[in-house]
Amino acid sequence: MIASLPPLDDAAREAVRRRAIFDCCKWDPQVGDASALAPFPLALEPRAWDELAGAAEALARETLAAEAELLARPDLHGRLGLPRELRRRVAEVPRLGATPGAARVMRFDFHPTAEGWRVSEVNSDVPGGFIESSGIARLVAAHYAGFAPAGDPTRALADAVARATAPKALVGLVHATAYTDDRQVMAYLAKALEARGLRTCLVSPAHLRWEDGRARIACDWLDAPADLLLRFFPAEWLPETPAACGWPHLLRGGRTPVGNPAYAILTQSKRLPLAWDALETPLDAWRALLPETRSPRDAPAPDGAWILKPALGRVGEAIGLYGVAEPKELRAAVRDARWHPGRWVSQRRFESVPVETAAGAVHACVGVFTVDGRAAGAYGRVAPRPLIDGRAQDAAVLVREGSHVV
Amino acid sequence: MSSEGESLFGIWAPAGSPWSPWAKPVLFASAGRLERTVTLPATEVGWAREGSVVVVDLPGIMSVAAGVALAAKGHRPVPLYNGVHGAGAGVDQEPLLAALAAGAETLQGMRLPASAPPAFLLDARRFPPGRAAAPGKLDNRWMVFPQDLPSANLLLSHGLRHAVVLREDPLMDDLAHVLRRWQEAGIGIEEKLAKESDPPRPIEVRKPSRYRTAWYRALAILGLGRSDAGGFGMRVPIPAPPSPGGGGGFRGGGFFG
Repeated sequence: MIASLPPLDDAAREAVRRRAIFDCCKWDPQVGDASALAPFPLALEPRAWDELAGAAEALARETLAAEAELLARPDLHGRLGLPRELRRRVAEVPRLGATPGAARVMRFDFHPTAEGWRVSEVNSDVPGGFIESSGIARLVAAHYAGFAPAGDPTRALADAVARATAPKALVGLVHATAYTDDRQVMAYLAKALEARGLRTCLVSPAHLRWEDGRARIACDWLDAPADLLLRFFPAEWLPETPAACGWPHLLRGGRTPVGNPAYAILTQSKRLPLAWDALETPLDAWRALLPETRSPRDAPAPDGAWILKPALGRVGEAIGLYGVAEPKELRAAVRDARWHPGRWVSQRRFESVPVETAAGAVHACVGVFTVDGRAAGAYGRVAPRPLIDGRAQDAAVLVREGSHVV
Repeated sequence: MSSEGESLFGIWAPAGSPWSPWAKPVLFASAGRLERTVTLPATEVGWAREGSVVVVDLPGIMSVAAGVALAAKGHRPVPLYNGVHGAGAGVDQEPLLAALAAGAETLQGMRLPASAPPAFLLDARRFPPGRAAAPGKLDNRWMVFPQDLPSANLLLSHGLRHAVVLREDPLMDDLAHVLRRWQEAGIGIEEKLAKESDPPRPIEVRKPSRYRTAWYRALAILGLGRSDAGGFGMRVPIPAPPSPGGGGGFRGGGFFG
């Protein structure tokens, strides 16, 4: 299903690290005592990549269809665990119109199990991993004859933005500027956009103003209308931004295209499966690949068979995984889910099949990107325990060369 | 990205040093043309001794100057400056970059052994207490977190049993989270006040608020968010707190997702 390749030698590893920093904007290459980059890549046979890419495209189609239906069904939004103000603004979409989306990007996280690939979640709001799955995968692939990166999501996203805009258009890259880990992603995407002749400006949401539904960038270094906004700032944080920045336009009543529009939060919620049965949209791929999901009220406490997830959790944080999470953290998750069941979801646990490497067995997650519905690349992460969180290492995902690589 | 910045990074984080992986590249990677006219102020570091880690927490060029002076005493300076550099920046990084460029010329001529103990360099201007970035500015404040430095176990495995904090102002809360961990693992913590001639003296680092909580990093950033300017430009809402407070996710290809 998936394997590892022999590790890079020390010199190659150092060379990759240096180029990752200075060519690919990887500004967080070390976390504690460990490199953020695994010394080995993950490898897929073309058939396995085809299977993942096909599954991701099916999931993307269903996700966008579910989103469209949900936008017209505010009665279902209460099931999703969204902050009240955000929910209120999403419910205004039928009246004020949905802000146009452009360059829709998602990342579906797949895990190898004894029953085949299982998907644990979709990051449909602001998925990360562009640097690692594009530039770094290319740097690593250069050391492995006969293998190539599983696509290039940065290239796909930049191409999609270029298609959605006129030449020399101004693209605002909206993020938390003080956070280096996010800044690096925006800087990397900006390079790709500028290489296509577009102009870019890296801003925070607080630097946006809206006039007649059109976005304007208003900061000390630029005052100009934006032609498109790329958002790397999570939707559930937007209600806390200053009123003057007009954040609701990122999801309703806006005329400037946004990638992704903030109503993507509807499908980002881990509680979405609790609304499936009320939707007309067929969700066959989701039902086949996502483990059974219930409200915490209707499921056992985390044990060998069930786990707890925060509805809007990210990067594996706060997941209540029995035998893996620290007992203190597990108790805290159980307690909060009891007090606030609407903010959590219970999911049947799957058994990840470890991947053997020269340094021992690791658990792997392959995040497959789709851009405008097409599979575009893969973000690999590995960890010694069966939980992919902030302590996991990034691993390039390579595909044996053939005719199947995206 | 700047090739001049890359060359500079190579001097401050040479391949042979075991401490280079911790050097933060962001400032070097975003450097433009470097100004080398800065003269680094003289810094008295006669108190530094072998077998000790030093954490320099001084403002701007003072931090770099102390790093260069410590290098002359046999320490390997490791820049941990993690603020972005750009137009409209709330925290001006130009003086820091100019100091790094000036310091590199001195550092380049030194032959520090791989066994040189580290001197981690922080900029005390990173998070001005009670001062948010002004509207329209680039919010580039930053904080240091435990995962930005080596663990106590790693330091101890290198025979480093003491850490000296060189500072002017009261110990900042973010650094206390690092030092308290080291202290609990058996590393003796001392402080040296830059403006006084007294030698370093042992201190007890008290438990900072939210110590060792899984959500500390999120909550710390929440503190950065009290601004109407940019960067966080907001208070961070807590979607699903497992403990009092809570926060979003961090790392793993960025803050989110």
